[in-house]
Amino acid sequence: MSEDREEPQIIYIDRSDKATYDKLVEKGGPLEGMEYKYIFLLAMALGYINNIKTESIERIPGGLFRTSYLNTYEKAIIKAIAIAEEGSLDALLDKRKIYSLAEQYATGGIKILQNIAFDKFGKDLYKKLLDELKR
Amino acid sequence: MKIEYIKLKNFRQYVDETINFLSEDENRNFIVIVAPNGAGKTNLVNAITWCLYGKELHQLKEKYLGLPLINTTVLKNMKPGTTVNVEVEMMMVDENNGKIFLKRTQGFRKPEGQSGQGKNDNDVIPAMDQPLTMLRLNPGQKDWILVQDPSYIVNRLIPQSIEEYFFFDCERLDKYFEEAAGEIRDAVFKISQLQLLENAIVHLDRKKESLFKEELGNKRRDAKDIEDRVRGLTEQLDEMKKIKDREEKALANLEMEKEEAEQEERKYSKLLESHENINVQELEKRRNSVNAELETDKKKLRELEKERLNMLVKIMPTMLIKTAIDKTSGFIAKKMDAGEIPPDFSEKFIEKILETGRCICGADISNSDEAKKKLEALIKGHDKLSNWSNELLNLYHDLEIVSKEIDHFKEKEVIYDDQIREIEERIRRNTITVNEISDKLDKSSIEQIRDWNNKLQEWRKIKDKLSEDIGWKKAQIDQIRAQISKLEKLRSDAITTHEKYKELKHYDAFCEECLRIAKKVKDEIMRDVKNEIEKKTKEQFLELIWKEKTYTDVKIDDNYKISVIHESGMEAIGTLSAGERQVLALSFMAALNSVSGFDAPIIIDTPLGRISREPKINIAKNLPNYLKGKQVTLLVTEEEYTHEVREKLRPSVAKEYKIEFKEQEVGGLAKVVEIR
Repeated sequence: MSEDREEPQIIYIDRSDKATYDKLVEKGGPLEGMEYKYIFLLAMALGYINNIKTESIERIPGGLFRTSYLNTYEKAIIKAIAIAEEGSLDALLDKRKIYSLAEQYATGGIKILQNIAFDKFGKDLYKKLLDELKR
Repeated sequence: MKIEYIKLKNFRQYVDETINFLSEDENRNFIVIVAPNGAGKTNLVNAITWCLYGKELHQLKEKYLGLPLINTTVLKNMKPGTTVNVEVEMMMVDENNGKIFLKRTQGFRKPEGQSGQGKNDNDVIPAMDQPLTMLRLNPGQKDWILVQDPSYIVNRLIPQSIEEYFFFDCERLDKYFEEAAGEIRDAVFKISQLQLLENAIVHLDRKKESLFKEELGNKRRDAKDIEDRVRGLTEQLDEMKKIKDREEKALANLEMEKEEAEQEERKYSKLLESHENINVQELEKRRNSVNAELETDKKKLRELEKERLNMLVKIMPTMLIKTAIDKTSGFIAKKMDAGEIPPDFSEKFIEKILETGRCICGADISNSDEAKKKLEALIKGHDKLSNWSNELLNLYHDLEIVSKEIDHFKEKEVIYDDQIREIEERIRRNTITVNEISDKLDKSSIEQIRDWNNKLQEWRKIKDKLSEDIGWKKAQIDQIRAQISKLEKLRSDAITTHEKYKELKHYDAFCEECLRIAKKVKDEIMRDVKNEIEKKTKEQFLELIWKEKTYTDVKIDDNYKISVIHESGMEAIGTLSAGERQVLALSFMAALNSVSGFDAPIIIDTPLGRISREPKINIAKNLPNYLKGKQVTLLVTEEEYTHEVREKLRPSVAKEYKIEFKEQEVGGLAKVVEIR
């Protein structure tokens, strides 16, 4: 197994998803003012729980945010996904793979979040997210 | 560049011969080597090409076909198991007295177990293949320098592809004109030393081809496309800015209208508050106070809802992937239970003991294979992840905290829900209170109060509507601003591309101009070279040919196809006799050499073989003039080198040799004897 002990410095998303991230956090947006990292983690979790990931990502130039913005707990849940996916703690040996997997799930999950946040039904986003948790 | 001497050792029929080419008289540049056919003239040329290029490039006589390079008599006398070298060395000297020494050696080993008699005696194995050795002595220097890449220098002196124009074989004369004309043109191209110009053309062509791709990549567009895009984006931007100005003015109007509505609202509210009826006064004061509380509560409600939503967004990933968290924690717990983490030892610690050969107890284990094996087995059986025990323990701890956050969220969620419910209830109650007060005032028996209250309510509705409109307008303006910002970036990118494109167009035009000039210069030089060769070939041919009046012109077309024009005006090359063709070839070769920039010696094998007496004398008389300044070696037979020829060449001849040849059972022995 190849090892890459260095975690990547940048988190990337697919070039086509940037507009969705921006629409969510822009002024008047459903998650106005929130940092990109929270949207990314939520998208990643939604992708994971719905088992939707996109393996080939056309990376956005410059990336979405630096991994240094993630705190230790946020990094822990990213690692947990990789370990659960591989079924072994060996997943920790390849840091690049861990983050690449997170990006793949986030690319799958952002479409789900987009549907939840921008659908036409009047229910507020909080209630729609709670509904998603109950599924 | 002249040959000073050639030394041959065991090469074909030459066992140990040295031929000196220089004389003290610098004006004498001709060397004549006289030998009967088959005595070794062509092999002398081959010795030179073998030394320079490692190959015998001229046609071997039939008796040497299939024989090794080594002299057959030497080979026959070799004892089995011994090795003998074949060597050719040359010393060349330039006009400034700079020298080049060249030597090629090939060893031949006779295999063991041969009798020294019979057919198998000629079996020999090339034993050692030494590359060409080249030493250089620069003018005025004393130390010889070993040349690292001799083949490169050799090819600069006389490129192998055109060696036959310097080592000229008259036996092959007809072939010179049978060659594809294009090959002669290419050879002329090479001897004209236009390679540098050609390289520049190729480079410019490549640069021009890749210019836009390298600099602009996929952004490459035609100038018109880029200009249209910049223009289009500018128009869109101007339009968007106009819309923004219009919308901002509309917003300012709405804000003014709202300000007006608020003033009107306040005016009627104050009228009610200052009414003589105390009950009315109190109702209005109460309504104002409840309205203020309503505004505050609505704002608070929005804030609480946003906080609760943000809290949910932050904790939701943990809640969604709880199964993955539990699974990971389970893996780590299992390792802890098994005592694998923290590990009993660090892999690095064991590696250090192995490296130093000293145990922590101080024992020297550097000579104990058993101890080393045990330590190596420990490393081999050691789980890599155990080295990361700290990371695993931290992860376990972090995931525990993250999981607890879910419980904290649930506790906070209850608090948020309670607060929100409380505020919503207060808003509901206060709204009812405001409506009740409005109803009371609306049902007042005093008309003025009813009127003021109605007006106040109307202005409040107008104000609320205007607030909504202002919010909507602001959102619209934000959207327009975002579009403007995006368009500005696109336009800026397009302008940058356009500027780059203009700059590249300038380079492109420069490349194009350089290419045009380089091609023009090349064509002009090629044409001049061709014209010069044509002129000299014609002059020399017509001067040398014995039927001077029969032929009137020699023409060379752009592809170097040679035509000889008969006095009748007809092309006559197909009807030239062998001797006439030889004269034409000699004239052409002399012209080529005089026009080419190469400063190389010329060797002509059998130059007068097919030529009859009178023209032979004519050629002997004129050749030194045509090849003035060049060192020329003529390899001739006695029949060619008649008394008259000798006399005509005498003033130019530096050295005269004859090859004395002794036929052997296989091959032969040749000695080069100086006769003058």
